Amino acid sequence: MENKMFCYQCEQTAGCSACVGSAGVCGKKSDTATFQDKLTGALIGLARASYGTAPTDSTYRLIIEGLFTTVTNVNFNDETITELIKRVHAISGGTVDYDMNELWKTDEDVRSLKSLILFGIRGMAAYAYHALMLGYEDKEVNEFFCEALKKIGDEGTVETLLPTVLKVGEVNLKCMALLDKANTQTYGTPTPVTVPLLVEKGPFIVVSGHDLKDLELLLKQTENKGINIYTHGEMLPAHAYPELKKYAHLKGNFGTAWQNQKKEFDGLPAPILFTTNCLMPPKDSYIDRVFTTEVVSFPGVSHIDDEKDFTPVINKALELGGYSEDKQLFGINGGKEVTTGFGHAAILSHAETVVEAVKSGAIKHFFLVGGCDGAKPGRNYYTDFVKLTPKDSIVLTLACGKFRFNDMDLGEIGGLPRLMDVGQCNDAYGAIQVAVALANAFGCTANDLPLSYVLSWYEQKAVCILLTLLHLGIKNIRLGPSLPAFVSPNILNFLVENFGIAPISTPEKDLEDLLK
Amino acid sequence: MKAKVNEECIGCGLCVSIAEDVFRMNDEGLAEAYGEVTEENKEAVLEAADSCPVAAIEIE
Repeated sequence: MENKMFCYQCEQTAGCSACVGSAGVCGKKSDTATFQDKLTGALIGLARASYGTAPTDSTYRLIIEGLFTTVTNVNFNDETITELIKRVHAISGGTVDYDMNELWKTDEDVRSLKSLILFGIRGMAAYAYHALMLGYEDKEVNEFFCEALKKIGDEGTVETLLPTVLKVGEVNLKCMALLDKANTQTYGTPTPVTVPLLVEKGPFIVVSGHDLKDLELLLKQTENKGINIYTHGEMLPAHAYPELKKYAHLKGNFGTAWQNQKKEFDGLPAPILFTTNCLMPPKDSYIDRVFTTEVVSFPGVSHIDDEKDFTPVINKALELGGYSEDKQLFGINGGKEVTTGFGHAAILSHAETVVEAVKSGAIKHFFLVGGCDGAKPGRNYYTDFVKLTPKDSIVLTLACGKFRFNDMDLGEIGGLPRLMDVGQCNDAYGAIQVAVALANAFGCTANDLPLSYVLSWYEQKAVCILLTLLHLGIKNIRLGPSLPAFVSPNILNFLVENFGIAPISTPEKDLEDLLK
Repeated sequence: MKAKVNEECIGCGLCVSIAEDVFRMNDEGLAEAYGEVTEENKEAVLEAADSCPVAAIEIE
């Protein structure tokens, strides 16, 4: 097969090596991959041109937008990517773009570390973008985007690049804290809530992705119009924010995680708004009812621009009319409802109860089982793992990986549910806050806590979160369903030796090892 | 029902991971259909066809 592209940034990567054919496994065509490389090369050129200067806010914003655009399942549209490249060139002057082929063809360990930096800042850019939409920025985070991009374009060695890899994790912690502040100051502190999986009869709109502001704007524009709103995938935790759940027509959650959308949206009598990833190439049976906004784009799909007039989505909902009768949907384990909203504030409001339960032996272990979901059949590992966790353990979860088990009732310990959804992937910040608070309460380090991390990854936000955990010195993380193709054997050895990272094996064996 | 993988295949292996008793990778690193589609595996084969990123699986 002739090499037409090179992309290995996601977990689905062909043959756990690289997507090099006419399209990636994500559905991205080879020409789109080439344009994404050109955009990244232009951003590196811009970072070089900005070095030693004081970039303007608009320069930082363009860098954040450009990086976010190249995250998996965000933008499949050559036209919008080309437009972005032009905007970058307009401010980078005569600077020569970096040729990404130099990176893809360099020494595999250097390539591996530069890839960790690049994919990490792509993920971090998504969080910075959401915070920016709510009016929150951080100078240090912004400056680091330029520093990291420049580093990718510079000559580098394993020794010079490793500190930058870990710095991605350090800065991402600040970026997730920024987004946590933006979300909670704008929409209030999340509180636990039960979310029905029932779709009421009549017109409705499904909102997917992570952008709470888009959801809020749509809720405002659909008020008193006889249209109900349902979250999808990573938008589920929106139900926990007081300033969003106050809208009576925010009714429930539709469907499961992103990889099931081709089945779940087939023939759906309602429009679907994608505010961020993960968009899969829509099937003909529903492409007419898919809408994108912000950096998400797909050829032939209607796009809601920055004016944020959702009238086309609203009209489509009214035209399609929704279901004629209430329709009960189910989670993948047959559950009729799910819970969310166990952010760090909610969990830590019960800190005394938790500490006492640990001291009395009622809680013997905590597991953080979360991350991205995906298409590989082996991901049922996470369902089985959670099913097997002992009854005296608590399972914290986050991101869309939770749809593998969030409809199960695991019972309670001392009035606390055994399964607690911390929120979206960026709410890994909240899980870290819980770990830090518990470590403080017990006068130990996070690694000394009876807390195990069993993570699933798919796209680049998982990369920056993993680097944050490594920056914090968290050890013995179990990672699956497969290890990243961009981690070379030598770099993997480094991660194993220094951080004890291990691939998942079987739920039974991993549980036994983690509970030792 | 018969499954066939056409020349659009990019060798990602997704179909093999979904329906391994019908699809396998050949020496060129591309997928091929080798097993019979049965009542038991029919759903997995349809899912593999639906999931193929380049729509290279033809169902006859």
